[in-house]
Amino acid sequence: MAEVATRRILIVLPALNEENNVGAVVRHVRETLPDAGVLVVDDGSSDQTSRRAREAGATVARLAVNLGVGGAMRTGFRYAVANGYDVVVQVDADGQHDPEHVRELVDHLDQADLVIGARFAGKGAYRATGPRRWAMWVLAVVISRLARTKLTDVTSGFKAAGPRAVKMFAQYYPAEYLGDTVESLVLAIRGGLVVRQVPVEMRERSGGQPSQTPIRAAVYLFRAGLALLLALVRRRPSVESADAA
Amino acid sequence: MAGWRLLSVVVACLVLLFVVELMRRRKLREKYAGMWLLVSVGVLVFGIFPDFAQDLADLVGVQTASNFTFLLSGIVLAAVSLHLSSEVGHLEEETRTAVEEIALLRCELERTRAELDARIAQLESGAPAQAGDPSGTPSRNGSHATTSARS
Repeated sequence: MAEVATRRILIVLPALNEENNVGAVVRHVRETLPDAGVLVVDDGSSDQTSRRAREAGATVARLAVNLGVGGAMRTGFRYAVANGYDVVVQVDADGQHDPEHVRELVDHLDQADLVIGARFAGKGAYRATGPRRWAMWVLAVVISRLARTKLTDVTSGFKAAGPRAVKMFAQYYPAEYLGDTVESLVLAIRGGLVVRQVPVEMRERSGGQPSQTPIRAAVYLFRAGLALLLALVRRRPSVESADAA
Repeated sequence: MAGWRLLSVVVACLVLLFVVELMRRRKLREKYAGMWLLVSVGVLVFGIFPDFAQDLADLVGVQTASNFTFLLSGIVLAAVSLHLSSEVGHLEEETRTAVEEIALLRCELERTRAELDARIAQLESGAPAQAGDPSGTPSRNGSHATTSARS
């Protein structure tokens, strides 16, 4: 885990109908991290996402069917394993994550296997309200306890995975609702991986705010709880790399 | 009395025939057919020997045989739909894996094609006399280096 500087980094951007943002985000990532590989996983978009990404200089893996972030990310992890990358950093293609923070996340990988870029931890102005916030809080408390470290933002889509995590996630990465955040974290923790968080600043989403209605928030609360419960009671899939558990 | 018995026997026979026919035409796989064969055989047995249902009901402590039969059918249907749900889950997982593999293969194909095009362009632009082994090997290494840097 010592030589972080010499590691090959792959930036994975799961993208669904992001033709307006993906090009700019890819260019920004390539400027900030010229030595990292950039893979855009087009999650069955119906627009020009693939083309824009390719024009911006990224490698594009196009999923024929929409699989959700989980499916897109496992594709990324498999690509990383097949092409000899040690570190995978997930960055959203909508431009809410600042590529400037990637280096910071990767630097923390020498003490951890999975580093989360957290939105609430002091920096930035990201705020969630109402039931959605309670749900996030409950998730954060439970998963913090599991991880034996303070995690404030477990649903963040800005994460860096070290070699052990990459190997594990290439074999098993949940594709269900919230599987890419909550369940994958629980999976990593139960597999004996070390999880840490780094406070990062989030920029305003370029593509508009997520819609918030009380009913939708309540549904989110319920599904988040269910996802967490399932993640906790599910048998851990047998993964060779999880020998530490 | 004989009317409903005849009806249930006929229905059970029809179901049995239908399942066998589906299997014969390879439209129903064995693992799903087994379930339905069992169900139709069960209905047939209950149709021919209604007392059997009564005996079973007495054994379990249910007062009327019809209630017992309803309970049984409910359980069977619930089990069948649960089984189907889990099969759908398997299918989803398989589809997901296949879709991911295809995406990665397409990625690989694109890269290989680009590499090949670059190689051909290089060979065509270079003098034909030079196209032997000495020029071939370094150009190959060069193209590999560029692709790995790009990818």
